Amino acid sequence: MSEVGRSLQTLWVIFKHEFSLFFISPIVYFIGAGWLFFAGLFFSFAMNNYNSGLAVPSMTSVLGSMAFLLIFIAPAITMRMVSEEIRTGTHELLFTAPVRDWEIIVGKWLGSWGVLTIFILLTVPYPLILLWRGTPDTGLILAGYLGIWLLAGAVLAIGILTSSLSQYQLVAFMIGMAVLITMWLSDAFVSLVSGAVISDVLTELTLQSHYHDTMLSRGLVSPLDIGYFVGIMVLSLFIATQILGTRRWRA
Amino acid sequence: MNDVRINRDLLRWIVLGVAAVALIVMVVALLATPQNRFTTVSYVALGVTILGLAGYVLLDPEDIVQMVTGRTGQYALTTWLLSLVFVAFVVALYILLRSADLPPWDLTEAQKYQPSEQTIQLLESLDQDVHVTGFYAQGAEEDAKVWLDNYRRYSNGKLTYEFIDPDANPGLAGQLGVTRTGVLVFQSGDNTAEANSASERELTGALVRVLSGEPRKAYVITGHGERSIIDGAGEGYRQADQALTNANFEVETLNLLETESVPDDADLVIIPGPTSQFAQPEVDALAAYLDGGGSLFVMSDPGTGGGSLGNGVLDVAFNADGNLFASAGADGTAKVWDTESGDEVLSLTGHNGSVINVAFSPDGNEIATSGADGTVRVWDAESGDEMAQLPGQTDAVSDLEYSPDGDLLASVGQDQVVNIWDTNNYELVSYAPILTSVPLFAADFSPDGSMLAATGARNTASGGVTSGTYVWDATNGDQLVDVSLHSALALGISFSTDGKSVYTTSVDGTLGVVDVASGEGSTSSLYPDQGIVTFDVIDADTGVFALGDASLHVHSLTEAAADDEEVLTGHEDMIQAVEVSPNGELVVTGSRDGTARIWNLDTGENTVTTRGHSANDALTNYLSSAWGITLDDDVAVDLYTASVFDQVTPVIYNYNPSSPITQPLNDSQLRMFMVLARSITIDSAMQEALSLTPLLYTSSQQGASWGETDPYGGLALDDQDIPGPLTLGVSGEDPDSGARIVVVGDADFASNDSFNQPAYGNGEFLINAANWLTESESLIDLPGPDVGNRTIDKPFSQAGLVIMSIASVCLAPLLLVVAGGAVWLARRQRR
Repeated sequence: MSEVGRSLQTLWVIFKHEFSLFFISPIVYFIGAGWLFFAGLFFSFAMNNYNSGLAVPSMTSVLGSMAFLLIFIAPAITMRMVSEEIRTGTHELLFTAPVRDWEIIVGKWLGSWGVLTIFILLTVPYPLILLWRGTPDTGLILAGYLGIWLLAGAVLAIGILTSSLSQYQLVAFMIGMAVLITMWLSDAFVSLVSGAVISDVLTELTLQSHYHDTMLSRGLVSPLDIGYFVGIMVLSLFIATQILGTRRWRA
Repeated sequence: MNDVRINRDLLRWIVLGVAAVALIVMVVALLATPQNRFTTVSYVALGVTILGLAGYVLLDPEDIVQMVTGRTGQYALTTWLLSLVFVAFVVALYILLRSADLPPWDLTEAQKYQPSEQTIQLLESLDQDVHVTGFYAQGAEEDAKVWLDNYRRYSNGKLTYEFIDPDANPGLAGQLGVTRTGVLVFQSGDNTAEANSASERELTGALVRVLSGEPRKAYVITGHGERSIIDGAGEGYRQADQALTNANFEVETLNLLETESVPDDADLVIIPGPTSQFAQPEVDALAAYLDGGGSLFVMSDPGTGGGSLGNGVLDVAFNADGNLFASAGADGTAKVWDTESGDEVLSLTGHNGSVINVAFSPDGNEIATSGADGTVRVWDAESGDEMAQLPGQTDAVSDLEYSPDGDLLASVGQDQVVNIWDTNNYELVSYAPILTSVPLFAADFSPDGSMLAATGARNTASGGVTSGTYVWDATNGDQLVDVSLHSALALGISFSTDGKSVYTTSVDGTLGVVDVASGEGSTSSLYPDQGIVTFDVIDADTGVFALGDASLHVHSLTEAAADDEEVLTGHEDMIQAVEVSPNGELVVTGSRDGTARIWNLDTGENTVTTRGHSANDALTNYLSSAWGITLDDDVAVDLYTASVFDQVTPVIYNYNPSSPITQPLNDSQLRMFMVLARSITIDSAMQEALSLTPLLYTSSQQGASWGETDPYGGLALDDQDIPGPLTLGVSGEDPDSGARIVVVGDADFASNDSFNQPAYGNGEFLINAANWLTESESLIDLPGPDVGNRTIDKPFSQAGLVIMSIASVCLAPLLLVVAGGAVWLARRQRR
């Protein structure tokens, strides 16, 4: 068995394990219920406007609000994942062969992304209602969904990273939320700094603009935005792996 | 020792948690402030965050050191160095991707940001550098950025752009003459051109203009009391002139009576709010220009044709003998007629705009007139030569009176000023001008000439009207009476024959009487249904009243309940002036129907009818007959937006989203406002052939807006009024000649006052319209984006909406809660 094949298999096993772990605990159902409640609320308000012709039917406003909700949901989902691992070293016990740190991190992240993917898919009836009753721009809706899915992956990766920082779940959750909400509009800090490079970096780092300004509200899928989200994922997971490594060495 | 260690560890995490909460507080505080500016709260929260982080580190510095150096320093150091290299590699990849400038995939069906073939060809053939500077508030430039990125990619690097926040960098904005955000200035070589919004039409238009370099020529018509492009006062058009110049127009004035035709180099002709009528030759010249593919922009204030001051005959006056009478016309002339035969004796021309008042000097040698141009002119009653021109009023003069001995000439105006001249030298007397607190509409000298009375009214903040009646000593200017009687517009005033009291009339149909000695006054209701426009005193007991319905009534001045002594009818439209002859036997009236008439009070006979002043404005007629655009005789009332300014200052948020002129306003949800606007009716038979397109509407809520056709009857929607939503702006295009036209039922929207309200899109509308009107000059005609019909075509019923809401807000989450509960129960049982 090649090295790649072995890694993939390990990832698959960890993913399956983590993913199914979510659904035997009631918490994820309750988080999902909250998610659907807000989604339903946003959609009902929006649909009311579309229905009376006050606004052009689209998923832009609903998905935009849902994207902001992700900032709170993602760290809630990931907060226990790595801190638990540091404490118990579960996966060491699952395999006879040694498991690499990055495989644990990525596998856990994929598991959490799987959960949020299901959350996102649960809202698909809304655009279907729009299509049933009217003529929204389907391309715009597709781009919006693609974007929120990528955004979910990126914020979960950041959540995994902050989860690796502390063995206390609540602290991991608070740090995760603080980091995400800061990144959500880091371009607001531009007014605080001088220097074109720093303000460029802050602007470029902003989570919101890579989703809202292009995919969500304009239906434009830019390679740069995809690169941004993938880059966030790669960097966060990489740093999380390093931290897990040093923490376990110390333990 | 171990316990202390654990506690300190917990403390560290609590401190870090506090730092995280403080960070969240700061971001929320940022979100809550406009434009995400830092405030005290966010600074404090930032401080707490930094302190918390520092505390976290300082509480156990060893841990941090260990975290970095790891189990064995050397191994961990290598790991972290390698990590840094990896991070730098990812960041470098991202920067590479960014500089590759790959175009985005547009997934939308509309392909809204895809430039048309014409634009792409233009960009690909660019052989000179073009730099675009976009002035946007921070964060508002995204749409423009998407467009300009697209333009840049097609231009092979010839087109570059940058965005400037004019608040942060006012210098450059001032240098390029930009006064508002949302403007993109194209520069190439020495040329500049402005795009008014981020749409292909505007951007490509500006690109074509900056490449051609030629400014477009706009002529602004003068000669009918129009707004002046050099006038810096509130109602002037100096800022509009500046905005047009910035938008690459070369603006010049044009008097069609002098040139007799529109110059060949005209790209656009603008008629900004005429207050008097156009003569037929002028309109013929405009029509010829349009037939040749010209463009016309008309802004017209309420009041048919003649504009806000009314139409037809605006004032009448007898001479001292009563054998002649004079009439003042909205056509810009004053005429003298023979009382017996009705023959025209003299015609006085010279006023710029309507003549509003006319008066004979008591010796009959002079005639004084006042005009919409704000001047008072004195003419030789024999030759008709202009003898003197008196400035002094900043607004139109509303009444003009000689003292009975002829030594004084008094004028009152809506600028609240009373001017009194010595007729020997036409210098203001020592105590003039006198200032009052209400706009004045009428004045009268007492029969012995010792006193001058005036009346006027103003709107109050609460929506009502306060009137004022004043009496002054004509020898020294001392104020004898200042009393407020009427609760509606007061337009008529006259001393009683004995000079002891002053009568006033109001459009609500009331007659007021003021005792000069005591200064006390009272009102009685005479014609509440029709309202009184103006009146004159016949003798001690009776007066003659011109009512809102074009009838003339002789009625007792002292007994309100008495029946009419006589009712004289014949005028076809409202009577705007009435004067009793010196011998008390005749009455002369001037009407909006364009006629002046002599009535015999004994017989009730209409002995003379003059038709020297035209009732209709040639321009209004032309717009209606040639273009199917009728300027309604009304004032637009909008209750829905009344709280912003007032009921007759409609705020426009209701745009035609598909017109290139209003689409940018609609998209950016920028509102406009108009002050005293008139509605426009489109002839449906001509609508399609001339592409007549409504641009601006009043509020569409049921009963919220209407066109008030009887402004003297109070603001209430009745049968004669035009129901809303009203059209306040129209564009049209003649497919054969290529002529384009825009008509707006208001001229105040582009005045300096309006430009000084930067939160509104009035200036943007002006420039959009001017750009559209001259678009054929840009040699490019772009199709608008095909956004398709994105609507809910099968809307839910109210019940369906409720069911859907319940299903999505309650049912779906509830299902998940139940599932979660089941999982929880199952787990418990397994234990």
